[in-house]
Amino acid sequence: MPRKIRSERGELIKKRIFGEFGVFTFALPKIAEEVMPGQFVMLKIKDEKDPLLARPFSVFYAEDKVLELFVKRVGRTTTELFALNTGERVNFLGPLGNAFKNAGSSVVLIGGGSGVAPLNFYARKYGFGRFLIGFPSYLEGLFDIFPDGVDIVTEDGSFGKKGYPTDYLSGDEGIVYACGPLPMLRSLEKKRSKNLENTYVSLESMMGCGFGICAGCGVKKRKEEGYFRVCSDGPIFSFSRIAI
Amino acid sequence: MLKVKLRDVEFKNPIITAAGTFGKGYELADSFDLSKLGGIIPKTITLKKRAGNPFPRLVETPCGLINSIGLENDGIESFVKNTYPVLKRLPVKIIASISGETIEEYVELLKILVLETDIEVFEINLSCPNVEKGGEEFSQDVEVLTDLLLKIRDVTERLLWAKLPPDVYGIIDRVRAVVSSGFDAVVLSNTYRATYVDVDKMSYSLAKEHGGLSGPAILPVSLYIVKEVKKAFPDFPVVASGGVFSVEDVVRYILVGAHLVEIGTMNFVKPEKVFTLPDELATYLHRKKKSLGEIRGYLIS
Ligand SMILES: Cc1cc2nc3c(=O)[nH]c(=O)nc-3n(C[C@H](O)[C@H](O)[C@H](O)COP(=O)(O)OP(=O)(O)OC[C@H]3O[C@@H](n4cnc5c(N)ncnc54)[C@H](O)[C@@H]3O)c2cc1C
Ligand SMILES: Cc1cc2nc3c(=O)[nH]c(=O)nc-3n(C[C@H](O)[C@H](O)[C@H](O)COP(=O)(O)O)c2cc1C
Ligand code: FES
Repeated sequence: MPRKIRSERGELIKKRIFGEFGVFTFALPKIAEEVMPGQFVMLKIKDEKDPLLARPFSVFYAEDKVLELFVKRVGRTTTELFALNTGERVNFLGPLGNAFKNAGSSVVLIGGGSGVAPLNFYARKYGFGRFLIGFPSYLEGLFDIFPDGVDIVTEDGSFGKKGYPTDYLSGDEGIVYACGPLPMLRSLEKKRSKNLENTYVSLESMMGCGFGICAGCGVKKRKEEGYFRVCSDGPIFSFSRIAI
Repeated sequence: MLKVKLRDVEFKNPIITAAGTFGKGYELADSFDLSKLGGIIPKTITLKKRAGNPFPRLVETPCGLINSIGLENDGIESFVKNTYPVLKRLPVKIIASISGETIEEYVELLKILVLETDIEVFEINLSCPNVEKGGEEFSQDVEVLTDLLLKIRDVTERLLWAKLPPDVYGIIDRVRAVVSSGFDAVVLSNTYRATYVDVDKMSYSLAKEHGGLSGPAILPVSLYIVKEVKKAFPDFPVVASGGVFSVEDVVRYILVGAHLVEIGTMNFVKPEKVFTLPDELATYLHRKKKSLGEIRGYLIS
């Protein structure tokens, strides 16, 4: 059923770069006021025909007419974003997709790389039991942007715990909210095999529109034939309903 | 001022959303004012529910998009029971797009829709590049095409459009079949068969290897097809589709004779834009001090 979305111009008011990651703060009054943790926006830097499509990004934080993205530089649009100067304006569509249910402050949050974005918004708005984040390595200043009490895991052990965030789950936790690369989600699925119902993941998919009109995004249903739309049925799904 | 009449059916203006690029039709109803549009075409309906093709189904290419969706839809029964009751309440004209795997399926689909709905206009999709059976297949042989079109025409007096695959060489014979079968308009065109390769993965970008190209990249070619067809059949209405991203693009199609213009891929990128196109078109006409009828086919006659 329809959700209200809007197109809004946002002005970059602050940018902080940490290697291949960056936090981008936009003045985006309307979307910032409406967006909930777990939801995403579609971002288009230039009003040009190439690159043609906007790109999906989860919201890292939003408050007081300001919205933040946490982005990994991987290709054309993300590179354009890293090169953007404060004062420049870009186009957003949002808020899009479903949100994490507020399950209180005992939830375990687990994020890998750019997947930490939606969990950070949850952590700051509703609190958390544990908040595990995983990155390849130490990056100067990066870990200061997360809330107090966050559990940092680096693959090479250069900061915090060593390994992957899923290494530090027992599998018996209550509700778990997660977002990250496919290998992380696969090991999460194994770890939480008895608790998939209570394990919620925010998924990524190639997206044409971001709001359910192109049928270009999808994830396989676990229990029946066919696909869910990642953009409008998700991006957040109980692991018990999807197959990756 | 922007009204367009095809036989006895009046469209508020020439701007229509294209099949497969506007969801089921109601997704944006709470976000934008649908009454601004000349019409909307929900995703093509098939007899049975179709899950669509495996993912990835989309790849972006220079100024374009290749899709291999594969006519994902819930089937006619669900359309009539669940979707149509919602669509019926929207303040906009609904045009139903249908596709069958056999001639009998097309006929059956249309019979059901005529019986169960008040929809006045049907777009017969003869051009989906992403299904194994039906779709484009029927457009390949003019005799088969004519047979199909005549059987469909027999079902109803309501407005019928045939949506053909793009073809810069043999289109005239096919449009002749559409004209002679008593159809009310031809829709030119659908997407272009296309593929793309991911160099990092050393694989095709789409799970189905190839799909249909849409977006600004195709506009000049689809515009050429409309021009050629209008030159051959100046009096036969054409509904244009392909690559429109601005009011100038809309005007381009009208200048070569299009009665109506469908907006597709642009809805993904700028969903708000299609709703302002009618006003932008009115502004253009005002600036040129011409009526819509005066600019339609301006470059043809
Ligand atoms: C719901 C959702 C939320 C997301 N949230 C975030 C976020 O908070 N922060 C963030 O950094 N990224 C996020 N992403 C991923 C982000 O959309 C992609 O990184 C982005 O589309 C890349 O665009 P580009 O133009 O820079 O890359 P392109 O030039 O399009 O692609 C370059 C390369 O990047 C990789 N790539 C492209 N799209 C994706 C993708 N969807 N996922 C992973 N890799 C991709 C591919 O390997 C590709 O070859 C999210 C994706 C989804 C679906
Ligand atoms: C993702 C996608 C799905 C489509 N699905 C359909 C469809 O179901 N039926 C149909 O007749 N055309 C379909 N089309 C074709 C469009 O209706 C349109 O004719 C074509 O994309 C060219 O116009 P555009 O460049 O404005 O998108 C689809 C196009 C896209 C991009
Ligand atoms: S991205 Fe278009 S339907 Fe999900």
